[in-house]
Amino acid sequence: MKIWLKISLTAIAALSCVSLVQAEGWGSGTELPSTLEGFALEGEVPEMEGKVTLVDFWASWCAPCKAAFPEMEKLYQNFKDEGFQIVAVSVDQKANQMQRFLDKQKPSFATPHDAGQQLVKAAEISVMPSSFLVDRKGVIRFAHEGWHGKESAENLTHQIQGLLAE
Amino acid sequence: MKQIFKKISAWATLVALIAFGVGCATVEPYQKGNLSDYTMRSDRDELASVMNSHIQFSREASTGGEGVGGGGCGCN
Repeated sequence: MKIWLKISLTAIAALSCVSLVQAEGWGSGTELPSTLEGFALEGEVPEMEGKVTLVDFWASWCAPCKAAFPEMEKLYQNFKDEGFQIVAVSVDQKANQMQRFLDKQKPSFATPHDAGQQLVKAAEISVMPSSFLVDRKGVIRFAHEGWHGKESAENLTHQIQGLLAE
Repeated sequence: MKQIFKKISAWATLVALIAFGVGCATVEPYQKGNLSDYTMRSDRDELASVMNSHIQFSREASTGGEGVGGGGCGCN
């Protein structure tokens, strides 16, 4: 085999390995810390211990993220008394755009701002919006990518009911 | 001479691969806010958009899709 071909293949393999090593983030089974305060979030960040929590990553420039808000509000109102909460983390780089949407929508659940994008970087999401359903022990049980309207809402309802019953 | 040329080619390939590999950057989904900014829109200047479409349909003899009529004669 020609030497340049050997070197090229070695380099391509090395680059592939680097990209594989980098592909680690949040997923089903990942244990989250009891609080997300270590990620320099701005705004109210509720404790997650003992509660079923939906951690949602959204942005004001992301239309599907915004479409999910009315359904998330319904879920929160339906299950909050049973120990369910939502932490909708905004990854907006412009705080005024985030605030404009929140002023219009007025969600009842927590909407901290990940201004430095530290938490979302740790989660290594590949799609906006992405959400993670965390059980009472702080372990991610379900990961959702994108927002598919009624289908997503029904899946979330079913999964939240299951986790609350545990 | 041929061997030296082969070696140089091999090293040049390696250096090029490393250089291009390091230069690769992925825009993460949460970083795409800048791409959806108003200033990134091609139609943010209404007057310029109208002018551009006028020039295009006049010069390219193209009609349809822009909301303007004409046969491409450049006379309107």
